[in-house]
Amino acid sequence: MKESTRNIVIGFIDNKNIQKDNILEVLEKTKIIPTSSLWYNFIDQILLWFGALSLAFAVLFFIAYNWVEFGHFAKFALVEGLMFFSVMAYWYLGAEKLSAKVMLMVSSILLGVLLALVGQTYQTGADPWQLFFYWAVLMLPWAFVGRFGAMWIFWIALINISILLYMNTFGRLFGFYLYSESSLVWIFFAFNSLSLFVWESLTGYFKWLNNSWAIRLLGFVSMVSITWLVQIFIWEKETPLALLAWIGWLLVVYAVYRVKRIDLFMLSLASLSFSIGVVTFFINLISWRNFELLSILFIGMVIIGLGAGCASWLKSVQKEAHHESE
Amino acid sequence: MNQSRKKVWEILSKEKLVEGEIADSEPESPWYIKILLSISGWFGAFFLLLFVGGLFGLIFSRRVEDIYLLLMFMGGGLIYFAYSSFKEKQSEFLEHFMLALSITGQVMVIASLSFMINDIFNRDIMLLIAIFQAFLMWRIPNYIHQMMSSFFMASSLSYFFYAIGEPFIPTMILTFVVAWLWMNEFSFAERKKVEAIAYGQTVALLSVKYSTYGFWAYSKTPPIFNSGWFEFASILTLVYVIWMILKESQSSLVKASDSVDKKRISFIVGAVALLGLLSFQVSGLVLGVVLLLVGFAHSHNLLIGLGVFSSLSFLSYYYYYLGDTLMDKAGVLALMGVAILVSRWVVTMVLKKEASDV
Repeated sequence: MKESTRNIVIGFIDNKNIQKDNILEVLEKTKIIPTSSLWYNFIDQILLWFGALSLAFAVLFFIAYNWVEFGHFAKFALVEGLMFFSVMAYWYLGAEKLSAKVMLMVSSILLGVLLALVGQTYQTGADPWQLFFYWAVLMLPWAFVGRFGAMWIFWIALINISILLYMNTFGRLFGFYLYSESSLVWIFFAFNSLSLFVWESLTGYFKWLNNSWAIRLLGFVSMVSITWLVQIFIWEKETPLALLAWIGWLLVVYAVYRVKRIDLFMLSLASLSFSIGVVTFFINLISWRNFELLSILFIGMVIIGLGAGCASWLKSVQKEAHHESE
Repeated sequence: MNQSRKKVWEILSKEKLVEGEIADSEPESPWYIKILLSISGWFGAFFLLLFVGGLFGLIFSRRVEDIYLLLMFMGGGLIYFAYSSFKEKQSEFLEHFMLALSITGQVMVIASLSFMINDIFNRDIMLLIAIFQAFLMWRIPNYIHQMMSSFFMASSLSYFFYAIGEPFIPTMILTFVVAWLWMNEFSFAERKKVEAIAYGQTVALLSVKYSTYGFWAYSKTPPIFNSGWFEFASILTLVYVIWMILKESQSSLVKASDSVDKKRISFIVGAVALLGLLSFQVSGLVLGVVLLLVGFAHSHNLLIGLGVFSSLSFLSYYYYYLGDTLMDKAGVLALMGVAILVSRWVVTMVLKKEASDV
């Protein structure tokens, strides 16, 4: 685990290794204060993202307004024309450039606008989940071609939304009546954990997938859903499968992010989930009717103890990782 | 000794910018461990409060409301006890326990004040809480505590302004305070304390900004300082941030004789000013840009992430804003998008040409 230059320099400042008059120069030498070319690239990227997203959102808002005087043909021409333009821009700019990938992202957003326009114009009677599902299916080739982490996260988000809407509409999956709070959370857990697994497995083969923010986001969703399942198990005494899955999930996180390699963020997620699970278990044991004071004090101490224990463990792992890079 | 630390030390010692011995101290805990500690501190304090409340009922056989003075003294005692403990180096568990104890004490003091005047959400109480939290933020020598007190101070002050019908004043003040604290984070003698305060203020700024939408929907009388004032204050903050960035980068940017560099400076200033002016209509977008710039100015990845997240969420929220029709909003966004992309393209072309001429 690499310590960031910012943190290293902050350590030197706090340790009084750097004179106050030299701080600015140190920040420049270590590029904590970015050079002009770094600034240029950053602002260039921000403007590209803001400009492209503003245009995509503008089209979305315009179609949602459903302006009657602006005919159906004109609306389709507008959305399809912009889609065509953004795909051409991707091709023209060259696949490896960030600007090209942003253009493909804009095309993917416009694809959803086009599907919504189809529904608005022809009143297809389709369920809302279909819009998001077909959106995800149809943008899949672009996601493969784009080789861009943000696009895959967008794709995963679309699938999550379609699962939520599908379950809200039918309450069953593939013909099986599954609907309950836990079935929905199970599907979320399975899908997002699978996505995390696939993402992590492919990171070694495709450099462009090596985005820590995307992996952390998937890890967070996976943690929230499995912790939620354990809550349901504890409070509603549902099948112990959730408990087994939770223990399994904790072990896998430990094996991958502690034994195989160190990732403090994932270990923090696991610590939080573990603490919530244990505390909920004890809270469930208390008889609230009798308002047992000592039990309440006990739970307070368990929370503080778990918090302190987790923090202490995480700090020792961090220290170990810090010394491993010697 | 950690390799990356050693490497940075060598670079700096060649330039005689560091002195003394390189310390093999533990690295700073990342933000998510701090959040984990804060969360368990709050929940631990909640159960301690339940315990203390129950104990009071058992011992005095009276309603807690009737013994508010005792509650206040006991709360104050707990805070003082935690404060004295924090001054000593202690184990992780004790430190954590003291944090929960201090929060419990604070809630007891605040509750006794509310019982005294028989009103829990009184605006004057909120002002008192803000002053009380500011005092704790400055006095208690614990990073997580300083962060939390900073958050509660800003939140209770914001509630005070909500209560007097001016919900946009706190966001106006907080936007500047956050930018000012982060842009000057290395100039303070007590850098670590300022960092903790800045984190608390940043989280408070975002939560206050998001909750302002709710207030706006339910307020009966329009405030004197409306959302337009907030946007104006955000743009002023943006100008301040750009000025600070240029000031900080003086040696590497302005003094550079390279004409491409000079063009780049004008590009940065012009483009950011344009972005700020154009996003005036989309409430909060300038705030997102401020966070992005402040984060990048000091390589602070968490602030950059918060900037991206808040910009996207404010842009999405604009869809539901009832002040304009969707058609107007589409027009604003289209104008913004085209202007930004055209300016980017024009200046990139100019810079490319300049670079090839040099």
